[in-house]
Amino acid sequence: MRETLVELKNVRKQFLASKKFMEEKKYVKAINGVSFEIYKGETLAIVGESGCGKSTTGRAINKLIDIDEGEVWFDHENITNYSSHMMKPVRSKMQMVFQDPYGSLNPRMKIRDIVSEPLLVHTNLSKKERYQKAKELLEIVGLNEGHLRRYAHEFSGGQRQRIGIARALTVNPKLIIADEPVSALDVSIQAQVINLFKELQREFHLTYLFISHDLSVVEHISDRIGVMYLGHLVEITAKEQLYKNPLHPYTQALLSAIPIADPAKKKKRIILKGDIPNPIDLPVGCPFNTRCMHVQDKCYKIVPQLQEAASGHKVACHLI
Amino acid sequence: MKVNTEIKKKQEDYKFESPMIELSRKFLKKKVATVSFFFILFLIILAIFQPTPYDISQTDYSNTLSKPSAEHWFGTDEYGRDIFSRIVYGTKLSLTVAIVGVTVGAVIGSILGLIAGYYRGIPEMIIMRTCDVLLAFPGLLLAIGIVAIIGPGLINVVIAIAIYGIPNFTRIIRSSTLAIKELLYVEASQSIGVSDLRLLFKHIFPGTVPALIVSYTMRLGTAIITAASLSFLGFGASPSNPDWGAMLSSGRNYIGIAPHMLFYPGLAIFLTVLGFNLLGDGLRDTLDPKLD
Amino acid sequence: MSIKLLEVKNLTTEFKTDKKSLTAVKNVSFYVNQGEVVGLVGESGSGKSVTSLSVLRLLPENGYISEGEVLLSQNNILNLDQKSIRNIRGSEIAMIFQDPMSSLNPVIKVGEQLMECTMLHLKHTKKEAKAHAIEMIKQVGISAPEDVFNRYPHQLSGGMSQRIMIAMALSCNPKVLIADEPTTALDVTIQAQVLDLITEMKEQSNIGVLLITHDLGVVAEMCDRVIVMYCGRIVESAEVSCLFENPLHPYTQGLIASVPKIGSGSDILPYIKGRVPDLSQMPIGCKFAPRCDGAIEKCFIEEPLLIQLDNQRQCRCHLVSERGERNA
Repeated sequence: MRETLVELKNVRKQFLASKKFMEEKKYVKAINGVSFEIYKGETLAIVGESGCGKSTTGRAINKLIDIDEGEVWFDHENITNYSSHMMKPVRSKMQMVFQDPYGSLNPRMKIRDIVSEPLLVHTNLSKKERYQKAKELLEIVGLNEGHLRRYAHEFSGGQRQRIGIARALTVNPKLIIADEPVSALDVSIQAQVINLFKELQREFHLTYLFISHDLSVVEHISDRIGVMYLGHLVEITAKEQLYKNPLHPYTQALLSAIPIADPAKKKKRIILKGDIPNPIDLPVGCPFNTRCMHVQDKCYKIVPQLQEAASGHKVACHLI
Repeated sequence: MKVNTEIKKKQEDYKFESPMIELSRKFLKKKVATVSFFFILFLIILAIFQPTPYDISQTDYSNTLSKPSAEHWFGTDEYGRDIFSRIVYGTKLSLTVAIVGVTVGAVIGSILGLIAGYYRGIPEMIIMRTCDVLLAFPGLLLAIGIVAIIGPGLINVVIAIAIYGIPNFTRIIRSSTLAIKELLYVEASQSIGVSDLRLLFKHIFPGTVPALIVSYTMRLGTAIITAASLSFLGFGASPSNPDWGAMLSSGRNYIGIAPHMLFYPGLAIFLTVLGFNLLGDGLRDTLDPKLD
Repeated sequence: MSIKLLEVKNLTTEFKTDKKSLTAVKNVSFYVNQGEVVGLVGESGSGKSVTSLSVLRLLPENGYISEGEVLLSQNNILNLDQKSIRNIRGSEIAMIFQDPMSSLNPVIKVGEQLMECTMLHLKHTKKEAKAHAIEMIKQVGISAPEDVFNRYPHQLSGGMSQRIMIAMALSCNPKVLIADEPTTALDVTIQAQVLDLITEMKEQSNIGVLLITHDLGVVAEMCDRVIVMYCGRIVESAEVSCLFENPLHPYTQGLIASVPKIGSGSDILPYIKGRVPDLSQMPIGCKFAPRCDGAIEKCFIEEPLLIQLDNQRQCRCHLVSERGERNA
């Protein structure tokens, strides 16, 4: 049995959407009972469309948001109710890489200060030692010493994402939560950054939680993939299984909707009807029942639970 | 492949401009703002070096209320004192009162604004409602009220200006803090584990500085008017002190026979306030990223 | 022989900055035929969006067209005054943008925004315009058109707004539709719906579509011909199947290779080294030379010309043209 690094148990989170006078409070149901684990050294990808709760899930793990219900375990510790003071040593073991390389770097700080900031927070190294480490890390991610004294706005998107990755690596984390790290980048740069992620994983024995909306990107990086829809984890399995034998109707539609860059392979697409429902008013029963083509009576009444369909292949669907 | 590496090197060598140089170039393009900047600089030099041709308290009863001449550029007052020298000295008084008062107000207001914007909840409610109360007073009335409580005198004018400025700075800094707090790089620092204090002063505060600079400059203009008004009304500097407001006040009695006694202090106030306001406008255009 | 609806000849667009003017688009020529979808592909900074804005003369204040012609049904629209160009926008040539949410006015009802165009260009009365607007909403696949007609833009989802934008673009029967990254802001399952809708509308009204995108997957599924741009220049243009089967320009090759493909099973993704050069520091010779693996010395000194290979195919590369000469 592989060692577990992160475990989520039935996590729920809702955000207050609107509070009108004399009206019932409305909540956006961001995560609705999500459970999964991330094993040491693997890459788990969480895939879903906007509003599915994938980013919230990532932030629940490093406690950038507090969850309403459920438990979060990291490295055999239950960190669910940790205060920000108790989180500090844990934070050094899990770092985050963000989607928008333009927004995630402070525009008023030099690169060497940005990259070495985690060291300032978590270690007692001198300034000189911190800058030395920053320099080493920039070289690892493919930038050079000359870049140390510059500001973030002088770099292209791909370079900035490298800087963000260097910052995440400075404190030798065990887990990196990457929230759509390549979706803001051009195709040719995207491939560079994905390859960098893979190299670093081998070199530093990292565990990744890779959050993305794009099933074609995660194939190259992930070991296992979880698909989320409206705050529910609908399917989770090994990468090969998911692409070869997707079981949940939503996963099937998601896979077939990806345009393929090969005109010779024109295929029949499953076109889903309608829009993603509003996460304030979730459908009763299965969250996917408004768009599913195999919907049955049962789907409108009972929320399907995530169940093992084959070894290591879990699906939440009444039809399986 | 030699050419290849050479071209690559050339591209690497390309130096980006520092943000300061870029901003100053942008600022210098605004002519009115540049002129007001140099005018303010000139005032500050006057205030520091005090090139007064006459002693400011030297009386000359043979030459009272005389019109502007080559000897006395701005004329003399009812005691025969040189008005030009008194205005130059008054520059020092006005600028000191305004700068000290506004700076104290800005420091306290910024800290309160940062706390209110960052922590929200009860601290925010207390701070912002207090500001609302202070802002409900018409500007000058508040200053008069404060001076009436703590007594007249230049130091108390400084205190009044500081208190009067606090709610404005608190509001501005709070709203920028609210905006910056939502930016991704703040969340990124939080995910690293950065402490609240460092987050506030290293990551959030620098982002509010452009707004702070602009309103600081604008407030200086207002503060000069407030100080002059208080002195004019007799709450500020004693009449023997060559404060611009006090000079206006004493000139009031001679408006028929010696209008220059009112004209020059009035002009000094007018130009200085205008200078600060135009400079503030120019700085806003330069620093506001939304106008790019 | 199909009719050329839109033809762009030697278009050069420059931007004035503090110090000098920068060339964002240089010598770009292409055409769009009736009933055809032409893809304009490139990464950020390739000049693809500037090209489309130049065609509609919607450039920002510091941008200007320094050379070239834009022929819309044989008329050069670059010679028209502001008023006539405004008449053409919407009625002859329409555009849909990347972000549907911000392209709609938030304080006016969706239906009224739809009516505006027909009342202006087709001189419809209010009643006619309303009937037409509801008809258009129905056509873009929205099930309750009257209901949507009375809604405000913020009450619509992203996919729905893009449908409305398409309805608005097509409501005055334009001949050419320019779609600038129409699905980039949308989710994959919604993207599939919108792409289908564009194809359907094209077939229904037999218009020409210029589809601007960075997504080669979208190009492969939608387009008949593709134009690849890099640094403001066309580097290759071909029929879609030719381009994907046998890309000639090293940039096109790299671009196609670096797209992640499901089921490829490869461990390391192929990629193009380096990055797109800044507009102000363009390389002297071939703009792609610093990133090109096959670059020879000539590539750094002399910019290659866009060579016509056969009647549907163009390529801008020294290596390709030399190979061609050798073969000939």
